[in-house]
Amino acid sequence: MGISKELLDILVCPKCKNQIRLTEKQDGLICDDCGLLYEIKDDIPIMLVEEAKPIKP
Amino acid sequence: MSVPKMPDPAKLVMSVFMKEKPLFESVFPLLETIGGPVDLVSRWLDFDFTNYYHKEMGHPLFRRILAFKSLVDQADLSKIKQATNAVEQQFVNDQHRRINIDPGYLLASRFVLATGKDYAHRIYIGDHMYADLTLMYVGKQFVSLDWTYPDYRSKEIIRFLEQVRDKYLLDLKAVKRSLS
Repeated sequence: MGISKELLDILVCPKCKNQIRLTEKQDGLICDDCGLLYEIKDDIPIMLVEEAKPIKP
Repeated sequence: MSVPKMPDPAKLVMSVFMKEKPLFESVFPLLETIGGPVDLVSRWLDFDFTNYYHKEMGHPLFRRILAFKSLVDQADLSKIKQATNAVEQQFVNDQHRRINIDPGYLLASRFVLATGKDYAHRIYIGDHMYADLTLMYVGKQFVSLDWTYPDYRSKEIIRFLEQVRDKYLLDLKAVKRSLS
């Protein structure tokens, strides 16, 4: 089912509270400001800073 | 006779609104001392369904909704409301609140807000606090009730809370697995 645009519009990064975007594969949410990837598991984004993965610049 | 059993732990949710958005950065760590790490945060939402707070807090008002990672005991809601009231007090200026925090909890079947105001449909939960059944989960969606505040009827808040519910079910499964 994936993440709806409606939901994407309302969620922000829990660290910096700025906008996030969906990865191309739609398997995660990226905060460009923090350089973090929040994984999506079973259509549920795991928005925990300590579980986020750093993304390469 | 029914056999009493332990209620499920609940997902703690807080709505925070204010006029001065930069205050949020000061409030956020205080809320994490109450509820632990936050795992879902909404963008800024306009708080424009009522002018009830304009005299005290000014306007326009802006809100964020937060959901916390750790599940809480439902019986702790009144204590949590007391704690968030204490946080509000830290930001009072000239007897006017600058932030308003409304804690509540979410279960698979419902969303409940804590309030200090009594009313016919509210249940006393101790510590001078009441529980307001704000939304019920029926037919795969949250539905409002006659007394639900207009903002909690809005599509964007309901959609956000449905996402919180999805995460809650995952968290609850993990908690139950760890206990078995």
